[in-house]
Amino acid sequence: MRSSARRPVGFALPMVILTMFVLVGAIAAGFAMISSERSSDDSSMQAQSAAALAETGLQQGLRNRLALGLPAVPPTAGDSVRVTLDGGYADVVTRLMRPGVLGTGVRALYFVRSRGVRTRRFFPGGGDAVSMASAFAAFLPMTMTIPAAVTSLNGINVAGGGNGYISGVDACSGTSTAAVAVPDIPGYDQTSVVKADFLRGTPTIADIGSDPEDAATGIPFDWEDIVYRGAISATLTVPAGGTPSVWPTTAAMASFPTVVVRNGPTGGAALQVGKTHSGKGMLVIFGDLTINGNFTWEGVILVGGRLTLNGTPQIDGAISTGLNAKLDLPIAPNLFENADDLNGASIFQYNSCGVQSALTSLGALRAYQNTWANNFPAY
Amino acid sequence: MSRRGFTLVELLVTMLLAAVVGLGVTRLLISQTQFFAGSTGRRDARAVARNAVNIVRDEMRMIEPRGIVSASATQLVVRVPYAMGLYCTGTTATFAPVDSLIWASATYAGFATRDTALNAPYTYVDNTTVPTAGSVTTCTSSPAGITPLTNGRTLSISGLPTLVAGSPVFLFQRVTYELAASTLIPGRTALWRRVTGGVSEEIAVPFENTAIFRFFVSGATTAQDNVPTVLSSITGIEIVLVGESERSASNRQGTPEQAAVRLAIFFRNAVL
Repeated sequence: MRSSARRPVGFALPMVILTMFVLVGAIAAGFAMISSERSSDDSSMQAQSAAALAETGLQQGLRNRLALGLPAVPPTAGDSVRVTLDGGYADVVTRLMRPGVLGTGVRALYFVRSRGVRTRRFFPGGGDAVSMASAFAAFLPMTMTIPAAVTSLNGINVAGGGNGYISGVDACSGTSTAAVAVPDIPGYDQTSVVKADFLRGTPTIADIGSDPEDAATGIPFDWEDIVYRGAISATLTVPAGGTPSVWPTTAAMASFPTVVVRNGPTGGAALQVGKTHSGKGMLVIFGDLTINGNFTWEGVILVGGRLTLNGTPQIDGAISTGLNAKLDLPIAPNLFENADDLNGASIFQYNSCGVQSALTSLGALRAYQNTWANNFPAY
Repeated sequence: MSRRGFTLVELLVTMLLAAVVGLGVTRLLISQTQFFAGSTGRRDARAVARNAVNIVRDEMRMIEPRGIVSASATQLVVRVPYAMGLYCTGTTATFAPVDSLIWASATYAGFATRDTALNAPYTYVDNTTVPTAGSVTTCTSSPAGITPLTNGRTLSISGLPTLVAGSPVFLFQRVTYELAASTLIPGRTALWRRVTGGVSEEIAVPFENTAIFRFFVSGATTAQDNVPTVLSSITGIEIVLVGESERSASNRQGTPEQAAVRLAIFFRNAVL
């Protein structure tokens, strides 16, 4: 007997296949369209990001050279650096177009360009986006008002002298300045007999205030920013201690480095320097300084604390001491005990060229305003 | 004996089921088609807006505010720098390299100069005498002492005044951006870029006719509709574009898909 069951007959299977076919087609089309749209959006975002990277690189190349490992003053041959940034990088190239001429007001001119490359992609398969930014720039050296060959907020006590002298007559044929600049109290004192023209300059002694606190307001630079906020970028930082544990090499001295000694502003041992520490540049000492022997320095010395001089040094440039008076620290009741002691036969010679050379490494590139361009060839 | 074939009831039920399923599938197909058409329209509309923005953005970022000749909600006439350089001596200046396509397509309309003071303002000189090749030694020798950049251009520029060596100089072209009637798609609005003495082109079309330029002025954080009295106080442009698809979506006969884009472009050379 045959079974009454029979094979199901209907449209179920064809209908399912047709429906699946339609749905798969629709989904595929949707994905393709979304993919195309995302790719297009990604391309636009990549371009925007590359432009931002180029701009960031340009600004870093102009304002942040030391942090990028570049010298403050771009070399004659120019230099370049790759700045790694979030999502890509920027290649920054600096080219010298005209060297500056010291003392003439003719600034060094540079062309700085940055090629921003966006490497991170939001959507796979695309290439790196590239954008350019460039600007002309001038190198602006730092300037400093020099009241005297020796400016001391502490006051000065000359206990030596001998054949030395303190001269405000510019050794670089510029405008002369005072020999010493001190506040009324404790003022300038000579406890030993020195030769008649020991002080040379116009005037020989400049009065810069009634006392150290008063005089501090008249010294026109921000020592507080230098000590507490790193306003000066150091070529070499020397930790606290008597004899410096690190010091620039003779070769490094040729480029007038900036040496910052962190032995203050209070409590640190006086930095002890002698003939072997002779050099050039900007020497910034947060605490006290003791000079021994035939130490020589060409440039600028800034001392937060007290200067004690025992040898026969020669300073070509300018020196300022007692700058911690600008930090609102308590002033010692007996000001005379804190005065700088010049015990040796020292020579302090004001030299505007030495000062300018020391300040050069503290200058910075500054973009010529409104010379920005984005059409430097990127290929 | 077994029966062969379908009964009338079976056939009717099958037809009814097939009709129901077919109706569903048909609706699905129509829905997908409409979705695809709508999405394509919206994508086209976005592309229209985005392309316009990309083209305009690169040029506008180089604008220096004193180069704005006139401005309104639908038209902007500007002198767009295309080559930045430094003055040497006489009538010679040396310029940084410029992308070859940009250089080739630029139409010279004059130059602008300023003093070496870092924040000095530019003075514009309209001039149609195209600069000619200048002597490199004019730049390298004293008193200029300027070394031209590799692949840069040293040019002799008619009418260039005597300046201090190293003073910034740039060449510009005069460009009019305008939101006006399209000739490619009649009845619709286009973004036109007209270079004086050069090309006149619709760089993007179509837009809704509400597309406008708005203005950032120095000190303000938002753009304004009104054109400032002092044009040089404009530090940027906000472009409010409503891009449209060329064809309407199939389910909305006669109504194109739209995509709004609002983009702020600040002049990088607007440090006043």
